Amino acid sequence: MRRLRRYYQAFFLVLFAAAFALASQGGLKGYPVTVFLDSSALNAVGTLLSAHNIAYTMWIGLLILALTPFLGRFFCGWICPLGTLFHLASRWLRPRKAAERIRQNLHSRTQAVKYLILFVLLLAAAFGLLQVGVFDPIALLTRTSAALVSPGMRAGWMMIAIFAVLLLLNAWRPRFWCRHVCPLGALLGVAARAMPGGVVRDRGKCTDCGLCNRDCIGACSPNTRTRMAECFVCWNCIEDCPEKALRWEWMPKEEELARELGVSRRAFFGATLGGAATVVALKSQAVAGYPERIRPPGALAEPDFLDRCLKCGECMKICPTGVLRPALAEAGIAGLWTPVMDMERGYCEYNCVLCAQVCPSGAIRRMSIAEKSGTETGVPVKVGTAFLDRSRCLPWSFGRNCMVCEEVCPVSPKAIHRTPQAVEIEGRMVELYLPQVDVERCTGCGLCQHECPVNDLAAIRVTAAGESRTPGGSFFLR
Amino acid sequence: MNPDPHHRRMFIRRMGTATGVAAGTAAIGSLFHNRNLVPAGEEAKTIPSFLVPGTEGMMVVAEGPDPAFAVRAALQELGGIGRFVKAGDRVLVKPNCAFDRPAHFGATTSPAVTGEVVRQCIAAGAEVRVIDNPINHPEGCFVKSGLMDAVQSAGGEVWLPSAALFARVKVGSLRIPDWEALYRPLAWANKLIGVPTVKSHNLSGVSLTMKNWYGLLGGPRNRLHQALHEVVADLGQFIRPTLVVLDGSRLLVANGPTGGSPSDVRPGDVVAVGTDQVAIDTFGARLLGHAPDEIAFLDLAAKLGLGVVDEAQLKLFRKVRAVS
Repeated sequence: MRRLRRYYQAFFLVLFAAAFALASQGGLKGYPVTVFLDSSALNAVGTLLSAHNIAYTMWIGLLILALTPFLGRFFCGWICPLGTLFHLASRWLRPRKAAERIRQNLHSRTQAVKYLILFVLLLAAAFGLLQVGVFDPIALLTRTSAALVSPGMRAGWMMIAIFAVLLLLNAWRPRFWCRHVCPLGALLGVAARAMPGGVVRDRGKCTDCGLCNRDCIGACSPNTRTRMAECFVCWNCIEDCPEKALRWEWMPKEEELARELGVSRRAFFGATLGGAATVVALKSQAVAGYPERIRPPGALAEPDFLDRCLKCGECMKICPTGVLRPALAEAGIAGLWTPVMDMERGYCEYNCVLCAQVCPSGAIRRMSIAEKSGTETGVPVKVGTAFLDRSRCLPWSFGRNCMVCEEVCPVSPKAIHRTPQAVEIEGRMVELYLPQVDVERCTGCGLCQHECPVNDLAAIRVTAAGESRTPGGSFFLR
Repeated sequence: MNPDPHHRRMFIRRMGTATGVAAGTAAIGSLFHNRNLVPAGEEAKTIPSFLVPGTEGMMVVAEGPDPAFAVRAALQELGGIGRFVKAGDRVLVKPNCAFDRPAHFGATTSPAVTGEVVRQCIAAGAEVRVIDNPINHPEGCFVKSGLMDAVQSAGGEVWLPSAALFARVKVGSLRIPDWEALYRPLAWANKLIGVPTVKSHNLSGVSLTMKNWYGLLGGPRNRLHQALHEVVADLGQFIRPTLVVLDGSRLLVANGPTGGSPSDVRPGDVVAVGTDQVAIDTFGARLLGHAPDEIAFLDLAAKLGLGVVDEAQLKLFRKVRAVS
């Protein structure tokens, strides 16, 4: 079993790396690169509670959740790539003495914390505050990987630091994250409670040597009664028992099974109150009024977007111009790490819908390039509007021709027009072209801002005003 | 040793130590002191002319519906590709690949013409690399314009720009004496072929051969628009190409230089091949309905001796029908 499990873990880790690597402009050829994000039941259940439906690709997560009451937390033990990485870290960091390892793998009461985290996350999601992606192991790993491959990414150091701390915590307790924190593990654990069978111990044969705990991955106490919600179905305990006192049984007597989660009533009420307070605090932040909250094209209206965005960073990883970056304050506290556009860093490529193609939860909806650019309907997807800052603009303020903004404007007819004006400069008549934005045509792509020669604060800048995803978002009277 | 500080030896030793420290300080100071706190820039590098001697002042215009065939017909009229490219040459091809657009939008050189130029050079025994520093994301531009595919299937190689390829080079005499440019590719090549397309341009009126060298520049090139006609003439001095193949198979007549709608494009069914940038650009301007005197950079370039506006002054000028 050990060897078989390791093959599975290695296979899925390599598969995750391959899927991540394929999420690029050249690599994405219809491959399901977000298959791991789709296989997280936490993402499926979370978005079900917040958005009241589930992106169709997430059936994989629901299938895994449905299999868990029969097979236990096989996802944690055999599939999860983050679990595999932490498993490797635990192996490298573990103590040499068997007695020490047995002590580290005894069940700890704080393993119940993950159920409280899960409860608070789902409670918040039910009230329209989706934060499961902050704790979802696949989103965490995807986000960290994206930060690692894009060195300039803002807040990337934060994500890498969090991951490094989680990695080191494996020295204190093997698979610390999986046992104590992971809400996906908690969700699968709750489902695994319903298992009809599990690992049972023959008390007559058992000598209480404790060897069953030496390599126990989930710290599920096979030395007493195996906790079904904690068991990773690795069966190391069965293999390690010198007396053959442990075995898997499909229909044991009920008293042989430990179905409890170990959450005390006090902790549960505490979490309810704390969770409710957090929800009220975060939801009371205004949704409107963030000019720099420029969302990727195809993003749903802000409340719907926040109901779905998992903060996985997949869109930021694939964006060819690097315009997408994680929000810090642009979208409120609830929108931390959600994607926003920074036109100084990049711009939204006209013939590109890659971010919509990889969004696992539908926060950025799928669409064709024709729909995005509005070539057929005449109504393009608008992420914002370019505003001209005449006081910094070369022709408007300094009497010099420029019109770079018009030149690069990708829409046809261009969304930046010019008005010719004859002006006298040093006794010489010069024809000056003055730029002006056509708000109906401007898609807010930000190429004008990106290319503007006024370098520290461009003379033309995009803000989210007029974005088409907000119903009635135009600031013009029609 | 007498510990008395007033002892002569002690006095000499202490004075010696102090003097040594003072001398060390002075030495470090004089060694590292620098009155000029602005570091001296590296001297701009010179790009040689890529023109094959004896081929000056030529232009052949080939009309026909198949652009690749028209390129071949024009080259034949000029004496064959072998007159310009020899076996073992390192040929740099510069198409217009500035924007992330499908080929039929006319914002980039057509894959048919670019591919044919690469194929001809490969057939002549040369190594071919294709380069551009686009406005949009480089890989996206090459892939979506169809140029990546065309170049690779013709046996050439696309050289995507990276920071390491750039250095300061000498450019022109009017506005930009030197600028950041793709120096390493230009230094690698011993032949250079420009493959521009025919486009209207919001500021310079037309974007043709000389304007296309803009794609060899880096740095804050968005400042160049403040005197664009003079800069285009400077670009004509910057690059003296082995050959120019102007792709008029379709013309971007409106909303240039980006286009963005099929209605901005008209069929052209013509290519102009030759060595005189000014004559070829004059021809291209006429295709877009501009008389030469409407385009200021043509006059500037002619005055600089880069070529002739009047095709009658060319050493060789022919028009051929290229119908297969």
